[in-house]
Amino acid sequence: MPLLEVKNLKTHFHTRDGIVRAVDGVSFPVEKGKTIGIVGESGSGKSVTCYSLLGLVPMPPGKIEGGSAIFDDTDLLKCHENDLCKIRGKRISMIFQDPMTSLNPYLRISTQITEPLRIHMGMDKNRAKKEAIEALREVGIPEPEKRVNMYPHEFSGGMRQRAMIAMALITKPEILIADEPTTALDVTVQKQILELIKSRQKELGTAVIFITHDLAVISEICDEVNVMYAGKIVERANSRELFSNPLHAYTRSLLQSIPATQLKGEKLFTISGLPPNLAKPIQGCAFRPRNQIGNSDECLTQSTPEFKELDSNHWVQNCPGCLT
Amino acid sequence: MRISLPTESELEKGSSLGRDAWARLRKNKLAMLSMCFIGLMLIICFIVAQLPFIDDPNEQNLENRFAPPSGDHIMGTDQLGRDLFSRILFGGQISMLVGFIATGVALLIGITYGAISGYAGGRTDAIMMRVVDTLYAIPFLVLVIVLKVVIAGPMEEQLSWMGRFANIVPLFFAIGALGWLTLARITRTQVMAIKEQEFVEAATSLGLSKMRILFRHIVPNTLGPAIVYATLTIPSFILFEASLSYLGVGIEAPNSSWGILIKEGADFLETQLYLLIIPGLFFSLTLFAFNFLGDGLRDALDVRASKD
Repeated sequence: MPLLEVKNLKTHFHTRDGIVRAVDGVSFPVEKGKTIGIVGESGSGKSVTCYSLLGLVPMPPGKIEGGSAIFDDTDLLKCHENDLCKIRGKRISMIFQDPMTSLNPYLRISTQITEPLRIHMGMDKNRAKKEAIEALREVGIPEPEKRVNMYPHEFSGGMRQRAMIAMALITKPEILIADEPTTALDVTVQKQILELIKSRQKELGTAVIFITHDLAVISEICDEVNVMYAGKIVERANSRELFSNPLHAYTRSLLQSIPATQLKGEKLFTISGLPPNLAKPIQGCAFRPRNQIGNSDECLTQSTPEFKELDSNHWVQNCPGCLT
Repeated sequence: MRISLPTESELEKGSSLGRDAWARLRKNKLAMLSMCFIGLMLIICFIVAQLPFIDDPNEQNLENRFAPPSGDHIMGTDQLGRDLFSRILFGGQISMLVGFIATGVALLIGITYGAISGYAGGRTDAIMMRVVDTLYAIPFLVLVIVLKVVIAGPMEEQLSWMGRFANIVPLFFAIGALGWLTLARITRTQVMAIKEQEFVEAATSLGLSKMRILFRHIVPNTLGPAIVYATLTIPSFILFEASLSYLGVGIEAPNSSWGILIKEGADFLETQLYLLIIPGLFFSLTLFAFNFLGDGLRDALDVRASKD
């Protein structure tokens, strides 16, 4: 049985322009100690999926319309706020995209890092501080005894993200949700942060849900990859399989768009058009208007394509136009 | 080339935004001067006034009315022969107390109310803000007078140990309890902006309770504008006490405040100008000082100008 089983998650936003189906029937399992990736364009519903799991979706306008997320016999989606507070930051933690804004500028690093220990474990101040220093050391911050007393603005971007990771992992959670943790960092720091997440994961046996739009990052860190498009998962396979044998036209287009794989002098391949407006109901295959690689004429127009296991452990949206 | 490393103590402490702001404030000469002036005023009014050579502010000497400033009475005497200097000192105590206590009460209520309203949002926020709007619509003066009458009666007995302050304390609270409206609005707006920031989401994801997030993570970030506004509220409350006293619902004779002294001085404008000028000078210099300090604080606490 997986550690976390998300089934048919639907998160909609009720806005003035209508109901935006940001996440529309997403299912995936998270196995203990594994890293699963969620990849997709901006607005494909990656972040909302994870925010829904921790009850971080602002409601209203957001609303979880259906589905379940079973974690240790508890359904996170139907759980009471107070029970969720006991899981958040203790058993499931999260790190965010922009380390510049995800630490409170008015509180010392020590105060912020020790907060989960103090509220979840009831640890006293001195012991929590010792743990915080240890945690900072483990994420590779030099002179943690001194740094721990500083304020966030005295840290560089990379150091802040390290501090965020230390904070998220200080309670040794079973799942770590990483929402584009490297997007706001420059490339060399990105690499360090990825290595850090990997090594901490190995030591603690934490499962990681890794959200990104960067395929290179996915290939480096993930065991299994979910490709999201228009609020749905269009393809899922283990990382090696997905990169060597992509089936869905969207996945193939994404892979083809990586600049490094393209010939010099050629015009870069891009997926033309924009992701569909999720406020309008989508008939048939959502990728049809942008499908250049497959055959858009054969795409389903009436029925929604089914998510099927075509190969062993290789799931894909079964739309004939996207599979050719 | 030598690179200067931060010293041990600098490294260990870390500098908070508050400390940065203090450093910026110290560079602002006018604000620092104002702060020293206010400090000096407090010392004069509360400490010097207790010294033995200061005359009793209520001791009348009808033989020596309207004595001009001299060695005996450095600021002269008033229409009842009372020493003007000591009346200014004791009046200053009351004016300062009104300013500080009423502002403190207003800060406490305003920040709590505004923070809850802004954080809750939605219908709760709408209802809470309509209450504020309603209170805004009723003339402040009328409300304070009513409130003072209502709370003064029951409070007076319990406050008898405070001596001459006993009948003034309810006034402080009455002013403060109604002066929080603007502060509530300021805090609400700030909270609404800050609650959308990522660190609040991060705090939620750590499993913090709503109350903890609000009062530990959000409210400290909103204090800057509230403090600035508060420094500007102090002089306005001092002024307000003066107008209440003029109407006879404020300070009661023989106690004085700067507002009362000015009012009395105005009666003898044509003959004894110093009775108006001297208390007026104390009053307006203090108001200026508070305003300059408020301006300085606003600049010092301005996040956009800070190093981050």
